[in-house]
This record gives sequence, structure tokens and C-alpha cells, in this order.
Amino acid sequence: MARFTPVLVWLYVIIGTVLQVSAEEYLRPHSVSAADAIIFLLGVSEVTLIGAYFMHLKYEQRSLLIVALLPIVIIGALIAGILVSIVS
Amino acid sequence: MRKWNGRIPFYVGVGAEIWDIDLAEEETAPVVDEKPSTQAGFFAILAVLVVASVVLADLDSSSSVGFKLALSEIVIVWTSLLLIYFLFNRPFLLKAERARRVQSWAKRWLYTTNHKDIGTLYIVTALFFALVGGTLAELMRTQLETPNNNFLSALSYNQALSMHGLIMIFWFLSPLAFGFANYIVPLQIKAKDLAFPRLNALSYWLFAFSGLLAVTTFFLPGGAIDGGWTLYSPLTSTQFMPGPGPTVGFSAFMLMVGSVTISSVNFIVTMIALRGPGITFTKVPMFTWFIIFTIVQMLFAFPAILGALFMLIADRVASTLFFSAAGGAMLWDNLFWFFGHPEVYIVLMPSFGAIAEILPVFTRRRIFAKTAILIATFSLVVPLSFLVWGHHMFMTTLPDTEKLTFMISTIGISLPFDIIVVAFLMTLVRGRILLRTPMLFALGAIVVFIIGGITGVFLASIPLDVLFRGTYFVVGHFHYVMVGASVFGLFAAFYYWFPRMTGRMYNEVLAKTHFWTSMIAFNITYFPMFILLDMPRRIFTYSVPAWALPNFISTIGAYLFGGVQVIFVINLAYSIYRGAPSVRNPWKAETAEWEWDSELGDLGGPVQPSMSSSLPLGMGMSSLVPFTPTVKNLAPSEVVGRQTVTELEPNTIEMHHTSTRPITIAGGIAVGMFGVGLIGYDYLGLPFAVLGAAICGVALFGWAWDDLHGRFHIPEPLEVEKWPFTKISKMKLGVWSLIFSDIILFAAILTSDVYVRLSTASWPAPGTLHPIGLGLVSTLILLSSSPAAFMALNSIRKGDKRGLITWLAITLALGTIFDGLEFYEWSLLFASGMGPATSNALSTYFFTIGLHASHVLVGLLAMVYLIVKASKGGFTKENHEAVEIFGIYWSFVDAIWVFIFPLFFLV
Ligand code: HEM
Ligand SMILES: [Cu+2]
Repeated sequence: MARFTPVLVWLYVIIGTVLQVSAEEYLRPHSVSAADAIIFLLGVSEVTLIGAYFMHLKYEQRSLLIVALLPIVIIGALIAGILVSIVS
Repeated sequence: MRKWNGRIPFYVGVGAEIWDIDLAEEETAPVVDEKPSTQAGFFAILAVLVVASVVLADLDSSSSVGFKLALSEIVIVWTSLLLIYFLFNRPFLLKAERARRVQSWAKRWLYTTNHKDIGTLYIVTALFFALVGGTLAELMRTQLETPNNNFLSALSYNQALSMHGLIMIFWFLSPLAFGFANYIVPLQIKAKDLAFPRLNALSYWLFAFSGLLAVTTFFLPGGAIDGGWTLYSPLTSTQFMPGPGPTVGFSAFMLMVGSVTISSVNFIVTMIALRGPGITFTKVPMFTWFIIFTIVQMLFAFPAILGALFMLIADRVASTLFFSAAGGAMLWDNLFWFFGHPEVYIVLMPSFGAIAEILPVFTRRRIFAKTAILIATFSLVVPLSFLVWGHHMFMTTLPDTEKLTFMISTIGISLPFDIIVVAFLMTLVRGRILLRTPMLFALGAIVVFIIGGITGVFLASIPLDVLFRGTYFVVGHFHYVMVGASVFGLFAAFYYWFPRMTGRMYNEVLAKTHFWTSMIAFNITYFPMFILLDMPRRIFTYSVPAWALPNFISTIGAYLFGGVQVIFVINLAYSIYRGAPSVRNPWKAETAEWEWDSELGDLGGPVQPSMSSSLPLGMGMSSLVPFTPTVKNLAPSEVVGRQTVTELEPNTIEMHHTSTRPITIAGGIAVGMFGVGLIGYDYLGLPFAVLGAAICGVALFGWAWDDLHGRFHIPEPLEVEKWPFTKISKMKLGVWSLIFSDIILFAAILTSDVYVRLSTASWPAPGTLHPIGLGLVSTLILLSSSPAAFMALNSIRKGDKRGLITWLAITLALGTIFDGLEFYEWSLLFASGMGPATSNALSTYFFTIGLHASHVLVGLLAMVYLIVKASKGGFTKENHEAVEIFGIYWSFVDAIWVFIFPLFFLV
């Protein structure tokens, strides 16, 4: 890992968080769904970077990555199932 | 033998025992023989305490509940303390030599970390809970024997019903299967032990104490859980189930789930990373495969129920509103059955594994289509089991399209089961069947499973289920699969592995009698339930004349079924001590557990060449093999210092480290949860909670102490076959498996938060409830601590020990400030009169933040440990895995916060 990579990742999550708050402050009054989408996407990208660098997934054997993604699929089913039951 | 020759006050003695220090150095100090007067005094005190507790338990309800509880608890605690003391230190009634052996025996079973001992403990304890659950069942059947019976009140019936279901599934079936898994799996894959032996002991003790806690609830105010084993909401609310009893019951369930989670992590790591030489995945035996499948399902299913139980207990103890908010019932249904359906396979699969192990041995054929079975199970049953839970919700308000999807997926999941059953049958067709008892039970299980499975497919069809839902037809279905397939399969395992576990052979005549009588009694009990397809389940009495006869027959069957289990117990008890000595491989099986050399070989004992590969026909019990000495696995082993020493064969000993920490931690947690359940009902709740936390904290500290001082050694694994994780250490695999289940836990909880929010009419806009500035600051602080932890790792990689300590200290400081800010915001809310019960918004907020903050707290404690170890020079350039593992965990906790922060502060 290059010497500055952790610093760059750190800067990204810090700036990302500030952007999230700005989206809430300045965008949300105009469009709730746009603000929420931006906040969500920023969050996902931050988590991806934390997982890749600070949890070292980028440097581990690939098989671990596959296993790390597996629960996400199963959670997808759980989330979908639960949230669908509200709609009724 | 270490000894403190009886002159030290007993509370110091008990404390020293638990803390595991040597008070006296003389290893051979003689045991002081007691004067008769001391013994008499002991028994007098004990008698007074027993009488007192009986009287207290019987005090009429007019006396203060708090007073009664206080006294009876003091009695219980003192009785146990006295018993522990005398068990360990006073040779009362016994000659010194005998007393020493009793002491050694007790220490072996209380402090063991050996997978075989723990397996034995699991099996024995599970049988005890089967007795409890079975008694409850007989009570229910007695009540239902005749119409309009009043043997049990409605309330007692409901309690018996609910606890029967919970105890049988969670404290009998799964633990029994895990007893075998503990014992057999490491042998089958030639691992020396499980990956984390102390965690294994912790799982066992959490299981045992949680079961006892569950049984105690019958005697607490409010009684036991009485809303069915499915714990449907709102029946579980304090409105319908008042009192501390049910809360303690839910806590017990939660502890059991914790135990399962810990052992799943332990097993998955063992099976992936500790396979011995030559055990590649293609060589893994069927039983181990099915345990792998079970574990994978456990890792994914149990966190959902863990989350649900957290929320339920918070609802009852801290007045959060998850399941009393609008839609709470559906939320519980979804979470419970997302876990519940995989759970029914979790109790089935170990039994299938045993059957798949037994069939080829007793037909002298390889199992038919092994690959097809494995692929069908792994790629269809395991993933699909998470996609069918809605078939338990056909009568709820689930949208129709979703119901249809669940109906199709359920029919889909029966297909791989067809493959398995057909493969089992083909193995039989092609083989020469030897009807010894394990085979009989295996065949019985298959036949019964076919009936149970077919009735299940009926239930999976929405139109039929509308008719059968909530009737005895369903009760018939799941008892055919759970008792018929799961329990009979495990009976098969019992007889099959009995010679391996005890070195003796069971009595074949008694065993066959046990099979035939059980099979007949089983069908007499449960077949009438298919006829009762219009009788609602869970009713405590009935007056319809047509239901009388089937119910009567079923009750007679239940008495028979219970009664004939005595044959089994007698056979076991007799054969363990008096059975004919068995040869090493009486069934001439090919799997590694029968070779014995995985444990004998490297201990320098006599290694017998593997003798069975040629598959000779005609299995005599002992005639063919010249090897005779009994292998004394259940022989009393000595406890010397911190090791158990078992004499397996003449000149062959096995040594294993013991640890006092697991039992103490589990005991502390159980006491603490008991206290938490009482909070709000009894002034003793808080002291008990604090006492439990203190015991647990001290024991955890002791665990860290042991590690810092190298007082516990895990058997060095051979670590040969690790595909597909060749480059990943077992610690790292362990922490990742834990993180996977934690991801599901948080997903379940955050989804519930969103669910509650979407079902609530109005929700406060961002910024009105929680100050965004404060949230932003704490987020930035937490997110900065991850890189700090990363820098710590970077430092020690370069061998910079100062840098390591500095960066760890920075991480610690940031984490502490973060938790401080969270609690600061809590205090602001409390100060303005707001709490978890104020609104749905605050209820989800307090709960979720609290759970996350406690994750942070765990990380902070871990950091203190790391800093202490680092300052003692415990980490080097080459050896610093704990730092890396910690960093992964810590960053995971940060990553979760990245979802929590916007959810509560920004959207
Ligand atoms: C071919 C496989 C199976 C199918 C298609 C199937 C289907 C179903 C369905 C649709 C129900 C819901 C019935 C209702 O409540 O109206 C049900 C209930 C149940 N099944 Fe199965 N099942 C199968 C195998 C099993 C197995 C292997 C077990 C356990 C070892 C099991 C245990 C249960 C239990 C415990 C319930 C009752 C839950 C309750 O208390 O409400 N099933 N099954
Ligand atoms: Cu199901």
C-alpha cells in the first residue's frame, strides 16, 4: 500500500460525511429523495473504502471477499421480505 | 494435587478456586480428614437451607414477592457456595484418597476444554433437558386425554406447551447434535481439537446455564413463557405476559442463541482451517459435511433471532416500542421465521449426516451419488432455506404476490430433499443390509421423514394450508420430521458412535427393543394427529366428541413413547460401565474417527494400522480383530495442575489444558440476565445484574491475564488442508465469521428501525430531535479512529513498538470520546424528559445507538488489553496478529456507524 493511501481514504470518508450533512442541510429542503439518495450512495462508497483498506479486504485472498459478500445477498432477501410486508 | 489443606476460610478457598490460583505450593499436601462434628455441622446447615427454601417457595402470595425472592435467592446462593466448597475442599464422608478423586473428577468436567469431554457434556445435558421437555409433553397429553379435562389450568397448559417446544428444539435437539459434532467432527477431519477450545467450553456453559435459567422461570412470578414457542407478538408484551418470568425466559433464549453463535464460529473455522493431512474437501466425511451445512445456516439465521430477542427484551425492560408499534406483529413474524425455517433444517441436518454415515457402513456400499447429495444440499437447500420463511405466514397480511413466491420457493426446496432421499434409498437397493441398531434407526428415520415431508408439501400449498393452518395436522407434520427424522437419526448416531465414545459395546437386544417399541409408540402418538385435522392446535381442552378417541390414542402412545425411553437409559447406563469391551473399529467404517491414531499416534501410544479399507463382509462385534484393550475414553481422568490427564490405554495418556474462565463467564452472564429480568419487579434485580456483570468482568479479566502470562495452550494444529483459505489464519477467519453474523444482526435491527419508521404516521424531521452538529462531530471522531488503528498496525509491521502504543492510545482516546459524546446526547434527552418510551423515533434511536455503543465499548476494552500487552513487549514485527484482528473489528464498528448516523440524523 502506498504510504498515503490510508490518509487519502481517511480524507474521503471525512469529506464524504461533510457532504452528507451538506446534502441534508441544503438539498433536502428542495428534494427529499435526491438528498436521501446522495446520502445513501456516499455512505455505501465510504463503507466500501473502509472495508477495502482498513479491513484489509483488498489485500486478502479473493475467497474471503466472496464470503464477505454472501451475507449481503441473504440480507437482501430479509430486507426485501420485511419491507414488502409494510406496503400491504 | 494442589491443595490448601483446609485451614483457609472457605470463601477465600472458593474465590481462589474460581480465580485459579494456588494458595499452597506443596503439590502433595495430604488431605486433612474431617472431624465428624464438622460433617454433622455441614449437613445440619444444608438441611436447614433446604427446608427453608421449600418453606419460602411455598409462602402464600400475600407475602411480599420481593421478600420471598430475596430470601430464596440467598438460600440458593449459599447452598451452592457450600456445595462447591465441600466438593472441592472437604473430604466429608469420604476417605482422603476417594475425596481426592471426586475432586479431580469434578474439576475435569467443570473446567475441561477438550472437545471430547465437552461433547460428552453436551450429550448428557441435552438428555437432561429432553427429560424436562418430555415431562411437560406428558403433562399436556394427560390434559388432552379426555374432553373437558381440568388436569391442567389453561395457563399451566400454555406454559407447558410453550416451554416444551422451546426446550425440545433449543436445549435438546440442537445441543444433542452438537454433542456428536463436538466429539466426532475433529476426529473425522483429524484436527486436534476445535479452533478455540475455551470458546467451546464457553458455548457449552452458556447452553447449560441458559437452560437452567429457562427452567427456573416456572418458579418466578409471572411464570414461564406461555405464548407458544414462536413467541408471536403482541402475546409477548408485558400486557399479555406480565412479570419477570417471561423476561428471564427470553433472556435464557438469547443466551442460548449467543452460545450457538460462538460455536458456529468455532466450528466453521475448525472445519475450514484445521483439517489434518490428507483431509481435502473431497475427503471430508458425510457427517462433517452436514455439520458444515448446519453451521452455515446457523451463522446466517441465528443473528436475526438474536436481534429480534434484543428488541423484545428491550421492549420489556427498557420500554422501547418495536413490537408494540403499528405492524409490530408482522415485524416479529418476519424476523422469527427468517430464522425459524432454517432452524428446522438446522435440527434436521446433523441427523441426515449421521444417516449418510451409517447407510454405507451397514450396506457395505459407498453412498449413492454422494456428489449429487452434497451439491443439492449446499447449492439448493442451504440458500433456499432463507427464502421460504413466508410459508409460515400464509394467513397474515403478507401481499398475495409474496405469498405466491413463498409457495413456489417452498415447493422448490422439497426437490433437493427428493434427491437426498432417493440417493439414500438407492444406497440400500444396491447394498447388503445389516440390520444392527444404528441401521434400524437410520431406516426408521428415513421412512418417517418421507411421511413428514409429504405432509409438509401439503402445507406449502396456500389453499390447503388455509384449511390446515393452526390445526393438529401441522403438529403431526412437524413431529414426524422433528421426532421421527431428527431424533431417530440421532438415536442412530448414539448407537453407532457409542463404542467410539466409551470403548464398550451397547446391549444389542435392549437396543433393538428400544427401536421397535419407539417406532410403534411414535406412530401411535403422532398418527392420530393427522386425523385431527380439524382440531385447532394449542387449545388446552376441547368438547367435540369426535376428537376424543384420536386424542385418547395419542395420549396412550405418548405414555408408551416416554416409557420405552427407559430402555435406552438403562442400556446406556449399564453399557458405559459393564458393556462388553469393544474393538477399535467394530463397524469397520472407513472414516478417520475410527482410526484412533489422530489422538494416539502423536502421543507416542501404540498405533494400530488402519484395518478396514478392504470392506470385508460379515461384521462381528469383536471376533475378527485381535486388538482387545478397552479404550477408556470415559475413564476418570486426573486433574494435575491446569491439565486433565486421561489414560486412554495402558501407557497412553492424553493431556489437555483446563480453564476456569468459561464456566465463570457463563455463570456471571446467567446471574446478570436473571437480575435484568427482575428489574422493575424486585429490588434485587439491580444487585443481581451488577453481581453478574462483576463476575463476568473478573473472569474476562482472568482470561486476558491467562493470555498475557501464557497460562493456556491450545493444541498446535497441523493446519495442512486449508483450501480455499490457504493464506488466512484461523484467528482472522474467526473474526470474519463473527463479523458476518454481526452484519446480519445489524441488518435485522436497522431494517426493523426502517420498518417501524415507515409504519409510523409522522416522523420528526432531521435536526429537530438530534443535534446534527453533535452527530457530525462524533462521526468525524469515530471515522478518524479507524486510520489510527491502521497506523498502529503499520507501526508494528515495521517493528516500531512505540508507534504501536502511541497509535493505539490515540485510537482509544478517539473511541472513548465518541462513546462519551453519544452518552452526552442521551443525557441531554433524558434531562428534557425524553426516553425510549417517548416515541417510536426515540425508541429506535436509543436501542440502536445503545447496541452500537456497546460494540464500541468492547473495542475499547480490547484496546486496553492490546496496550498492556504491547507495553510488556508482547508484539513484535513478526508476531502481532491480535493488532490486525482488532483493526478489522474496529473498522467494522465504524462502518456500521456510517449507516446509523444518516439514518437517525440526516434522513
Ligand atoms: C419437505 C420439506 C418440508 C416442507 C415443504 C414443509 C412445509 C411446512 C409448512 C408449509 C409449514 C407451515 C404449516 C402451518 O403452520 O400451517 C410447516 C410447519 C412446520 N414445519 Fe415443516 N416442512 C418441511 C420439512 C420440515 C422439517 C424437516 C422440519 C423439522 C425438522 C419441519 C418443521 C416444521 C415445524 C416445527 C413447523 C411448525 C411451525 C409452527 O409451530 O407453526 N418441517 N412446514
Ligand atoms: Cu418452514
